[in-house]
Amino acid sequence: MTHKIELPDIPEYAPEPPPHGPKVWLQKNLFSTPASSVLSVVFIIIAIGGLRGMLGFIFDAARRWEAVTFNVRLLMVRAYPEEQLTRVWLAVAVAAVLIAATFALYQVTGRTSPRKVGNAVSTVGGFLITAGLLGPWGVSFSPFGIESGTTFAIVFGTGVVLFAGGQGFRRGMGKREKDERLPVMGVVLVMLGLVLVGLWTISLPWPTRLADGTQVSITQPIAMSTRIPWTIIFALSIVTYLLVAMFRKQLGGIGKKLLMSAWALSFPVLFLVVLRDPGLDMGRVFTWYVPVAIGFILIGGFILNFVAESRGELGRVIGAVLLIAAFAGFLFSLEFIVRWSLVALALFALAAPTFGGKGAGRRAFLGAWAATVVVITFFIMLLAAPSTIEVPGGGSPFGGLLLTILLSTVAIVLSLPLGIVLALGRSSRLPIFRLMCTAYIELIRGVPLITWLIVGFIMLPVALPEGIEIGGVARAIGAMSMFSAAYLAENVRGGLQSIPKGQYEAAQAMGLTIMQTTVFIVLPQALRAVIPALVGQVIALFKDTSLVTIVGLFDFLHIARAVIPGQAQPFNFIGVFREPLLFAALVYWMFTFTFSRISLRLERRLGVGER
Amino acid sequence: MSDSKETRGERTLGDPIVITDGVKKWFGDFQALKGVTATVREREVVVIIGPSGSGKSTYIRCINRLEAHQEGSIIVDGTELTNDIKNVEKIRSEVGMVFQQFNLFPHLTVLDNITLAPQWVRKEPKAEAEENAMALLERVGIPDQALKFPGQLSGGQQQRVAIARSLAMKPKIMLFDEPTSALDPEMIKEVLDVMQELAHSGMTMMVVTHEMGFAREVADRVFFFDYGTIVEEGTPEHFFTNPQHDRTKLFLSQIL
Repeated sequence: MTHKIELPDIPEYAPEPPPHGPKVWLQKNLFSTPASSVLSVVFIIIAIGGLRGMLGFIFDAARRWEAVTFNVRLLMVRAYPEEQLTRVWLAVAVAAVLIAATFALYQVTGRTSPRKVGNAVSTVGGFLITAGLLGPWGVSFSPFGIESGTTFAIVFGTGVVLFAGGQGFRRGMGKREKDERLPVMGVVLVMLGLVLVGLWTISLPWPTRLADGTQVSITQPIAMSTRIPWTIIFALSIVTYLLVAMFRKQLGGIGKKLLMSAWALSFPVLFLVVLRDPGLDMGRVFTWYVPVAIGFILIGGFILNFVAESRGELGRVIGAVLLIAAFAGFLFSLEFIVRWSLVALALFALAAPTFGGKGAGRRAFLGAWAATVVVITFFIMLLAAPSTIEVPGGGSPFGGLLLTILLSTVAIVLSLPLGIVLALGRSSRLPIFRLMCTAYIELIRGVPLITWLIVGFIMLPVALPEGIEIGGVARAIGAMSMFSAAYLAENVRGGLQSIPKGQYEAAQAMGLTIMQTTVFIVLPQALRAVIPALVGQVIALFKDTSLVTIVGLFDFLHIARAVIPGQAQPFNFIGVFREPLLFAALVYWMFTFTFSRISLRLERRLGVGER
Repeated sequence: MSDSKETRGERTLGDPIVITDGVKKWFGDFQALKGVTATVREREVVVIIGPSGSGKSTYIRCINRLEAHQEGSIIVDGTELTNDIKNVEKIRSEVGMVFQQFNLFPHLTVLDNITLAPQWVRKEPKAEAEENAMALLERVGIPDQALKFPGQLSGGQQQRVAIARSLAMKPKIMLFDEPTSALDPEMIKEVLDVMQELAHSGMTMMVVTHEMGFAREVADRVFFFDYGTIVEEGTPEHFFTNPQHDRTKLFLSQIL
């Protein structure tokens, strides 16, 4: 099987190298036919014009980029109190450490070749050289008090250095294409490190308060209170990454379970406890929440054990009765925690005959029940307690980029399971499920998100029973999750349809139940097949969070678009809207571009072994 | 069955285990089965042949209710197949099936493919299920592929994994629906060898195939299907050397 064909040693048979070089490349890619030559020239001219316009805009002397730098805290966290900012830094640090651990443990990033890295650096350099040569440098500009000649020198010089450096790196490391020995994560860390060095060295205009109380602008690197936390977070991430990567083998499956639990715990704990600092009434916690939770765990556990034992019809009947009881709970003004615990109990009872297992499996199932009760109690208890973070004007402490991230992450986490359930319902054989899910999807998708946000804000408080209040952020999250779930459901349904009939038949022939087939066979393959569409939906949702401005929340875009251009004190930024908007666009793009890169990697990794 | 041999190799045939009586099945207006009556005994190997569209695949798919028959009765190991989900689940856990297109689960490793059903249907502990799976992979000759994904295996290896996956449920009856039809010629033998070994071990088998060599060497009885019914049945000797029915003679003259 592995024998090679020996080529006879005759000069005529020696392979010739294919024609290559810049001339060949240009001919093949830009000027292959007269029509494509025309198109190439036209689009090169358009691109140059666009670049010149953009450079002219950014470096125009009339630009007031200090509108961005002076308002960085406002853009990031809005009115979150300065003395409490440690909470935000802690949240960022936890997220960074978890991301680093995930990348290391799952080897999300692979390796790359020096050739690719060198070429990428050279490309950036080439872009800067082009920008340096094409920029409208003769015109008046010195936005940061720098002479235009100096700006040209900086842009052009950096370009030359990067271009030469990239090529030098590539040559120095050897240029074999298949030589993949640079860890991608290392490259990413070096890039982040360079950003960090920039934080310490690059001077930008920042506001400062003089002794007499007036505020003025001074040009210096960013404040220590920003530099130090970022440096610590960067160092922590690197240490985490290296440690986890080093002990990856030893951590194995347990490490993955721990990490998944940490992710699952981090979101509610960071958002509900760390950032919100709820004022809990300890007396009520111990006289009400804890006893109710223990009661549900014990009595519910007993019922579930019984249902799992008598697998079959009786279990399904008990589950159905519990479900009806749970819905009845919504008609009477039962406490939130009782209602939702009942719903969970009913769902567990329905799943018990299939997933109840025996011995260790049963213990795991009952453990999952106890964990679910704890989670439900935890959420409701904390959501019911008001935040003690005081912001001027009252209301939610969340604003700016922090609010954007809160809205999008929570809405994505909530809408994915809902979307999957809807997709399964719409593909169900039972007409009543199919009808309900189809109606939901078509109704929600048929109306703009803004409408649902307004419905959530104006109609929901009227519809809710007296005494129950939901905060603005929670209402926005609710509306966005419901909306996004309808779209996700259609994406997932596409995935479901891509599963060949033979997969169902094989599962059936082995005696798997419909639910087991769905969980173990169909969903893993269906979700994998629609990763690009799911990521597209995540990106859309992330950007759609900017619509909450319509119901009075101060998200990132709203601050850039409406708050900063309205500032008169202490610096007059009235009418300065283009600079913050451009900055906001850059930040949104950085997030979405990262999502799409990670999804590409994920797709490639999960594709291993398939086809 | 008067004309079936009592032994073949070292096997001794036991009691009837699959009894089908007047089984009829329609797809819309098209009648796929027109009253199939046959009995298969424990440890017996039945090979079903016939032209395409003759109903032979539909027939064995009815036996584990991948297709529901509309008239007649099917009794598997004493349980009649009805709409009662309990009976269907019981029969499916006793009847293994191997498909033409293998139908392995592409997102699971070979080992996980095999241990999934034992763990969740038979409720075997994971360690025990994996031990059994490795023993089965040993039996079909590919223990070294346990941690690969199906897409990384050749067709013959995939089909052997599919056989191991069915055997992991410890079935009493194995159904094979054209198990070698999607394979390259050089891989057919490795799958047939596994099936022959399985037959010698005493498994009750119903095999839809076009491999006449297999039918001649391994089968206790051959069913010839056409027009949705059994046109002729008999021992391989009788069937290949002295066919009675004109339709059988025509079929054999075309393929041999």
